[in-house]
Amino acid sequence: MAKKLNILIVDDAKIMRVNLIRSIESIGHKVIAEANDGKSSITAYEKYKPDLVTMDITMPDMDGITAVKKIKEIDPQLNAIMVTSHGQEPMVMNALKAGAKGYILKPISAEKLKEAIGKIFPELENEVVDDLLDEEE
Amino acid sequence: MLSKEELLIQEYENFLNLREQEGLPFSSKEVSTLLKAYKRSTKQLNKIIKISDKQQDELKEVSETLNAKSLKVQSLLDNAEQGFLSFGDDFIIDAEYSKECNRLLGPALEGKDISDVLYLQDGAKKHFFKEALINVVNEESELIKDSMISLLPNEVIVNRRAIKVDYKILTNKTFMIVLTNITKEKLLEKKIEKEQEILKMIVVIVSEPTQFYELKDDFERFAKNKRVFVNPNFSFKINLNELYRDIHTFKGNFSQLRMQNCVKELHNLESKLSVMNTDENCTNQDLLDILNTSDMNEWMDKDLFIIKEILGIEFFDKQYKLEVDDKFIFNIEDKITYLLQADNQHMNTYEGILNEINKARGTTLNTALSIYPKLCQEIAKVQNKRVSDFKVIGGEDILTPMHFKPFIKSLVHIFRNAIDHGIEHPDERVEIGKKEYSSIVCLIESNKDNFKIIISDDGAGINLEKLKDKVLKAKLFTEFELSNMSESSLLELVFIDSLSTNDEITKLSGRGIGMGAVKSEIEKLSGEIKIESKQGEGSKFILKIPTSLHGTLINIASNERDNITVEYILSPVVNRATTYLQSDMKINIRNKATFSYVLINETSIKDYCSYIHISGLVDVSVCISYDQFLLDKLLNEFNQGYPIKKEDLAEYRESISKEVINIIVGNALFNPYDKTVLEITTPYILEYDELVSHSTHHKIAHVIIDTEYGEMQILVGKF
Repeated sequence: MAKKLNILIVDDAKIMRVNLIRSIESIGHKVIAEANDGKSSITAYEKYKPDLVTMDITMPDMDGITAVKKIKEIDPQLNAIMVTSHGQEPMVMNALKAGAKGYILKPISAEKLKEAIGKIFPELENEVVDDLLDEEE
Repeated sequence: MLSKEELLIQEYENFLNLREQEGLPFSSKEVSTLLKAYKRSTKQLNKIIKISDKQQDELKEVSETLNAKSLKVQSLLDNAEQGFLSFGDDFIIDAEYSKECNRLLGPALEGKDISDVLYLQDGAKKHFFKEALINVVNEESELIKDSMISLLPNEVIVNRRAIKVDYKILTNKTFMIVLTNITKEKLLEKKIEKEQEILKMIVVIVSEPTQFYELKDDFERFAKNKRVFVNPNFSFKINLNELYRDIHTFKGNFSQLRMQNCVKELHNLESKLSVMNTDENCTNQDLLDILNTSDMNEWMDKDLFIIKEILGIEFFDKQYKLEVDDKFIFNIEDKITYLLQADNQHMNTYEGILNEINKARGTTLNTALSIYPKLCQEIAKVQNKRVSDFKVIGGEDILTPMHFKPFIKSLVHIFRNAIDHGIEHPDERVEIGKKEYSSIVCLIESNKDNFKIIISDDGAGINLEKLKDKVLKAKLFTEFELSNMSESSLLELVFIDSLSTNDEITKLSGRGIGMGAVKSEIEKLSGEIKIESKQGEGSKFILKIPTSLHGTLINIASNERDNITVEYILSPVVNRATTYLQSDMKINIRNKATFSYVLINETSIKDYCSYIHISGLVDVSVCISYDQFLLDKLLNEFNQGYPIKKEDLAEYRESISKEVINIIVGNALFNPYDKTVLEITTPYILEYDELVSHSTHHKIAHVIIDTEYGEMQILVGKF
């Protein structure tokens, strides 16, 4: 059985969160917590210690880049994926510098998410293959 | 037994042969393996050469083989139609690079700074490039490295060539770049864009000829008398501002007509003037100098030449009366059809242009029929009859496409008959108590499904008895058959060709000539004709044509000239929105109305509306509002088709409305001349009341994009 990731999703728009949850669950992972701004994402991260965080960039109160920086200070092992749109390259670069490991472009889909997660957790891909082999036996 | 390198080279030789046959370029992964192999063999070669002279003879043979191998790889790389080069974290290009690099980037690249070579003039890009690569070097995670590299620009222009750039990290501190010359592809794209621009210009000029002639005359006058615009009695500042305003207005007007070459010249002058505005030492003499060194007379030449080429020299002679030879319109249409085949990507733009051309070609129904009142007067005069002056009423918003021409022409029979046979002589009219001047009315009514042309006169009406006589004489019906016909069926007899085409008979009988022609033409357009006639009181012809079958009948949006800033903002936003709806969201666009200005309190803002404020070079806001159905379609797309809970709907709609305006405006807005991004705020949701209270005094520009799911309205202005 492939490892299930516990994921924290951070986005100020509920519809984006709902879609992220749906996509995440459809590829076999679990949303362990949700946050709707940068500040509460830090608290949530400390509380739930997720394997992965999906982070929106433009949010009220604290933006996603600052949040990544702050969480990285708490946990250098942070795995974060930025959720962004075309034309925001400089912002994405700042997020990557701050410690995010990847990014996906909106509108999101299970495939895009799977690809981005697969880059961070390549071992998950292998386990999926193992699963398939198990099934064949 | 072959060595590892030899195997590798052989493998890639085979691969290259295959690639050559298929004409495919290398992937950067393949190239990096090749380059590694090459470097390895060179290293070995160097080592061997350094080994003591004693062994030299023995090693000579080995060395030659290796040398040959290394040459083989080099020649493989040299013959590929791509350039390969590498550099370290100091950005200095390594000595080993393939020949194509010289062709693309110039000679003697070794030792040069890669960012200088790739982004010669672009400081910002150079900066972003170096910063990104420094970030990459400092980054430990391979993963983040890759993500960072994927953010780098993948196309550059060097030595007037467009080059696709692929980046590859070789070792921690060595990068490789694979260059592919894509100039041809880019040139083709550019050429197509240019043709598009020209077509747009022609279309606007053909549909707004008066505006064109006026502007051309105005500017010619301005260019001739430019010195007058610097009044020695006024201060430099006043003169400068006056001139600046004039130039700006001209620029706006030429831009509206899409005379791009002229716009460019005016823009340059405007820039010079705005520099002077900040210089305290400038005088009126400097203004005169600038004007004297500008060959304004020639600024329109390029555009006028293109117009002449396409519309013919005659276009310039027929001042204020536009009659473009159909031949030229067909030429444009052919051109578009050709472009359509060459470029599916911009299909919708071309379809838009085709629609515009139809608009240009089809005059309004009102104009098309306006020749008839004059004709009626002429015929009446010859026959000593009197007709009151009349005008065609209505039909200003209906366009008559090309294939309506025969129908419009056939209507001459109705008008001619009215005078020839309907209207009595003035003395006769007075005798029977009618007005001396007869009246003819031509009225056009329309709704969304069809339009009607109603032509009536107050003449003698159709004489049914005489009509029956003629039918009997022609042996078309028996007396018995005629006696069983209703009055309306009897009136229908005027459409029988064999009756109406015989001039001798008709003149005697007082029946219509060529009425059959009218009927057959209107039937070709799926329309119908009805006659109402009362003996002694007059006749009425009601012609009804469905519009749904004639997609080319579009209501014309009114076109106002105005502020260039607003159009520069609006037009890229509209283009981006169109692409976004079509390509990203797969929504078909039915019609994109040309932009017009509205007073905000007189326009209806749709149910859902968000806005973004833009600052920097300009200070305006963009507002996008949606029909609920369209917004819900977008929402559905973002929600991947899953159902949405009722209680979430309102919130979701707001989020999507903000998201979409962010994507569209964020990606659309570049200064057309230097392409720097403008500053935009985060999106807000806007209440209609707020919008109105902020902006009652301002006119705002708006465009409505009509999609299969409803309308999207884009507004630009200060609110």
